[in-house]
Amino acid sequence: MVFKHLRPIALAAYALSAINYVAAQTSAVPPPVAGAPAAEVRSLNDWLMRMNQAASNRSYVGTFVVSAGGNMSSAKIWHVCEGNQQVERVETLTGAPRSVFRHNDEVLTFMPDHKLARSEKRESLGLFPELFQSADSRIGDFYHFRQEGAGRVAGVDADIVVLAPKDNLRFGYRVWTERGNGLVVKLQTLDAQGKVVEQAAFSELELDAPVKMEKLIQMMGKVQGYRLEKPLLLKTMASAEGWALKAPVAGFNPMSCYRRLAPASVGTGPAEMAEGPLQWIFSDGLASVSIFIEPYDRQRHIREASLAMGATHTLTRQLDAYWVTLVGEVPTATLQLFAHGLERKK
Amino acid sequence: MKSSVIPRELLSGLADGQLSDEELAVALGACADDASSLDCWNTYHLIGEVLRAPALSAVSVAAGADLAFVGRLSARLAQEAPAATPLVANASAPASALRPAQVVHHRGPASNDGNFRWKLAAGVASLAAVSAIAWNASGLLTTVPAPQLAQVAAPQIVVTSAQGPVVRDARLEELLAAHRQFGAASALQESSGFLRNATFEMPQDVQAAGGR
Amino acid sequence: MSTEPPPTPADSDALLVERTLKGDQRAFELLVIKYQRRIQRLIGRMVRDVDLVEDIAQETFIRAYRALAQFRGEAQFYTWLYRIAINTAKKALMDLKRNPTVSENAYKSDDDDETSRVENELTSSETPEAVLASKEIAQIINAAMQELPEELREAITLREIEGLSYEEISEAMNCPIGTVRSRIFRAREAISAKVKPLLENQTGKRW
Repeated sequence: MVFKHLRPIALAAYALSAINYVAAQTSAVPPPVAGAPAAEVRSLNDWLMRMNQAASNRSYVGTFVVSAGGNMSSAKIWHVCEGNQQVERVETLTGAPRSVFRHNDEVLTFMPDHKLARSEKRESLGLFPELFQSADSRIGDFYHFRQEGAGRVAGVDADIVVLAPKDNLRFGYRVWTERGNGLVVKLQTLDAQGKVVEQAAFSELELDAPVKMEKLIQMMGKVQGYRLEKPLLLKTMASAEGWALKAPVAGFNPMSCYRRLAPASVGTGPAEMAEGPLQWIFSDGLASVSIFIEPYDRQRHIREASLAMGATHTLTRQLDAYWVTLVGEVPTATLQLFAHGLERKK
Repeated sequence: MKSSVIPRELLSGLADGQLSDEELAVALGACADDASSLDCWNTYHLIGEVLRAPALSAVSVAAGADLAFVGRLSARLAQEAPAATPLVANASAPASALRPAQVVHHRGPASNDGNFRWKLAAGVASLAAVSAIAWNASGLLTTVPAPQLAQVAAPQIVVTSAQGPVVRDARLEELLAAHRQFGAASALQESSGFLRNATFEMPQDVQAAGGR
Repeated sequence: MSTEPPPTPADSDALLVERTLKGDQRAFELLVIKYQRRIQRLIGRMVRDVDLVEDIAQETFIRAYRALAQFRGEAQFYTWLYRIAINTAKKALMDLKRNPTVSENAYKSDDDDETSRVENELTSSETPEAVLASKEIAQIINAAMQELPEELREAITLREIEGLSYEEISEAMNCPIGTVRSRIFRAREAISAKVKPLLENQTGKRW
């Protein structure tokens, strides 16, 4: 009895959107099993949609810093939207010089130190909206969503939410979104103890900066003196390639499967490319895992290892005549589950 | 040849933690120049140990062998990278099935051209437990100029660097880039996507792998 | 605790660690000399084979050297070093157990109790000659102490046995700090002179 009275008071202490709180107040304590209460799911979906749309309706310039452990790296970012076109430019401030340009799905990476430019397609759109249209949001099954308050990042006001994993197979996240439009301005990836394994945030941010789209597109065209490279992906199906996962890893759905072909200079047809590894991609909506499968080669595949870089973990192992590399923003144990579940069908 | 008195008095002060920085430098200089300074340091500490030992016991002293011990150690230390830069803390949990590494050892500094540094935990004899350090800038940035995923990649190379042993695995860098290309398989990547993936070179520190 | 070094108020270990991290290998060697006996005794309680004890001790210091940067900020260098020694010894023992060609006698049951009684200081890994030599050395040092002028004996006693800082000693003895430093130094020198001939004869003797 007492609790019912306390809840509204406690919640009112947070200065956040009233709508979400009304919804949260009326929900029961979230059950420990998959299947989040409707209200929590709605808040989560709203938040996700807003976050997703933010980048497509605002221009900005900023400096972005990623840190894991004591290490930090940074880059400067220009982002501009005009109509349904988006252009982005990223310049590394630390480490090797890199300029990455993105025009909608087309990505061009300049490596001045190698005089190489790589052209790729960003496989993105189409995945996102589907993930959250359904009423029983998959993300809500595996993450608790809660508002945590407000904060300030790089001079802008932000709302903080936490996505806490319901099991140990995935990491948690604390996300700061700019109050005005939902742009993610800071993102922490958290381990099972709530410790930050990785943080990505703007250190400087100028919203609605006057960035000229044509100027950026022009810069993208300056491939003079660069060797151009265009890796190729062939969409396929894991089952068609003879692979299956014996037991699914909770929450992670297979998203797509590609056969990668060795990149070649522009002009080389697919027939002349050499086959690369198979890439099978899984996602739980927030984290993704790629399983790369290639034929085992004694000379190259020397060592099974478990490595980590910030939130990204990798695992390599031999599986009969194949060599498997697993990569994902998940704990190593999760990669091990995938590794053990992988089997060759034919 | 008897070492001069002044450095020995400094060693006495050093044993008690009572030296200024300049005095410390002089004391260490004396040790470098004169082996009897080490003898002296050794004896001072031995005296302290004996004095603190209860009356009826004897402190095993291994006195004569002492400087031989540090002499042998000194030769090994000279082979190590200087303890001057931060090294890796924890060895991560090794992968379940480990096979002896056949790696190519190179001496010499690891150049900074790699965005990636998959690092070995300090003191880990087997190369199986590795902690990685560097980030790849965006899913689409790799340092390898000619990725050639289908071709034979260079074997893993272990380089002894000022940061300790460092593993270069160009192939793994490639696959990580390929993984990041699909960063939008997740909502967070899609939105902050390009940004979070736009991670860049990290300097030399290492993260322990999250092996469980 | 019998052979515990007195607490060093202005931490000499910290000075040496810092110096090592600036690239001075010799500073680390001073730390090694300071702690090698203690470390070898510690390992000797777990491992019977004398050669193995020394190998493990060497390995301990190498690991400490490699990981030295992580020591910064920790409380006591020896505490940290102690843990490295224990872990190195345990690992060596496990490796031994897996290797059937190594004799059972090479290792003993685990005992990482640092506060084990003094009698255990002399382990069965010491040769009788070494035990005798140790006793002789102790005797000389104690005799030399008795022969010191009073103020020198008092100064070194307050430092080494009571663990007082120079400042505290200067208060206790009512003399300037510089005098404290000088007295401790002269006490050490006087004792060293008497014990050095004995130490020079120890070359090659183990433990």
